[in-house]
Amino acid sequence: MAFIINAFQRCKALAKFQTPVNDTCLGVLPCYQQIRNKWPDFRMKKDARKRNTLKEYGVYKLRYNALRKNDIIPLEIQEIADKEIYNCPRDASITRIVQRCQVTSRPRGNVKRWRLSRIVFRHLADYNKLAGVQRAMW
Amino acid sequence: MNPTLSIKCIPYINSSKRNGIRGVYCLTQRFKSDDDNSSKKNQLAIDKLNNLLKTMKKGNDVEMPPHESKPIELAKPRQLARKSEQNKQNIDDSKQNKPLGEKLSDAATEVAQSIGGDTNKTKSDLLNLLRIYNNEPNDSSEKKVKSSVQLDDLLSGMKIDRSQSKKSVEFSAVDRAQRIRELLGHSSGDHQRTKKYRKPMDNYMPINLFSSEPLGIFKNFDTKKDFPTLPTWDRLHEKSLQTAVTHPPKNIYEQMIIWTEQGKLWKFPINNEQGMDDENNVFFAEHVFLEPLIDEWCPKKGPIRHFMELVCVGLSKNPFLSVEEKKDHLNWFRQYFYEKNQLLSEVGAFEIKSLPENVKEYYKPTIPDE
Repeated sequence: MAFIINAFQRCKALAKFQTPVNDTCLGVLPCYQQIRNKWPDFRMKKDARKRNTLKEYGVYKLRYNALRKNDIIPLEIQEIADKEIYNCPRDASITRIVQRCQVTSRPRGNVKRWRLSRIVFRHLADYNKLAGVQRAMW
Repeated sequence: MNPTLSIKCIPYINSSKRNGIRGVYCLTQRFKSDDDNSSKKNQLAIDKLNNLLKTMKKGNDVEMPPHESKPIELAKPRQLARKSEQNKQNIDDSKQNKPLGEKLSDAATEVAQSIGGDTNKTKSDLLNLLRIYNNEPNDSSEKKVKSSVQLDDLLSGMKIDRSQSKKSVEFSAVDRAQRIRELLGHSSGDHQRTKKYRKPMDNYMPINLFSSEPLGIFKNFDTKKDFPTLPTWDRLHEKSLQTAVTHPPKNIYEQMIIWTEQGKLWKFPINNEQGMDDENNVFFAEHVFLEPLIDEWCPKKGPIRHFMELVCVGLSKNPFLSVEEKKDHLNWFRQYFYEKNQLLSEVGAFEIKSLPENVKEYYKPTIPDE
């Protein structure tokens, strides 16, 4: 009897210590394989995360702020709204996101309309890769 | 060509008195090739030929023994040398000790054969010529003229086989190739190998795989899809199939048509609201006049009413929101205030009458207990 219990427990332990299978790779890759993503930078990835948060929770923060920032709604309700907005995700705010270059993840000197840094923009424009961009001539 | 040929001929003629036929042949060749040249040259050639024949005849008179008539070895062109050697051997083998007249007749036959055409006539004419020279050792102009005319006629009636030299060149080339192959040492072996490999294909009989009854060994073969599917591979396979079916655009017009279909180019007529299809059929009044939406649940007066009216004004002025989003905002406030009904009544404000028809689960931040 003891032997059977022992074997059962060993089986359980084996099942527990099985290596985790990477589902996306069908277990072909080793388990500690570096996972690559499409972002050029970790800051870029962070910014994307913030943007997703804003997309999801920005509306609620806007509504809470509408409740909070007036002198019409009774103060009791405004206090409740204050608490609620305090517990909303902080990144769900337009001021938290950063306009980054989509190619190099450079935070400054971006050309807003193309979402590119001035360097990348200049490079692409020089090689006529941007539709409708013309060098100034007069 | 002519001067070279004559140069080639001279040593040859000098060297081989015995087989003068070659010389005759060469000269005739040269003579023939002079057809289009001036008649003077022609005459000169005929003279030369006659002279040659005369010398040969003189040789006949002297009757030297064969071993004494050994010519001086001179540098010869290779081909001619080889030929002459062959001839020499033949002669040495068969007719070494023949009398000179017989030899001459043999030579005449050979010449006749080599020149082609009417062989017998040529031969007889040649022999005739020789006899004439033999009979008249002294120089007589009449005879000479006569003979030369005869010879001229004879030669004009003949065709010279010029392809022989070419042939011989080819043969020699073939010989050389053969020799090289032998040197390399896989001429015969190669042939045998190819033969070996060719034989089974010749005897090949096609077998019908489905002619006899099957053995039934693999009847229990399970065709279940147990193996894991590879989505990326499937996707790529589909993509490759699609690319195999679709043709690339022939010109820039087709390319632009495709781009327009893909939505990369403006469609004509140009419309600033192109692609904003979901708001296409919405009347502007729905965007602007939002107060009827709050009338049914909002109290007639009080702070909530005031607030909601302001919200309506703000939303109606916002061009960036769709009607659905605006209605969603109003619904959220309705639900929010309905939940705070108790508090509102405590404060003294008017209560919200009802919940909306489609109550939504909105996000609610979790407030930790104090």
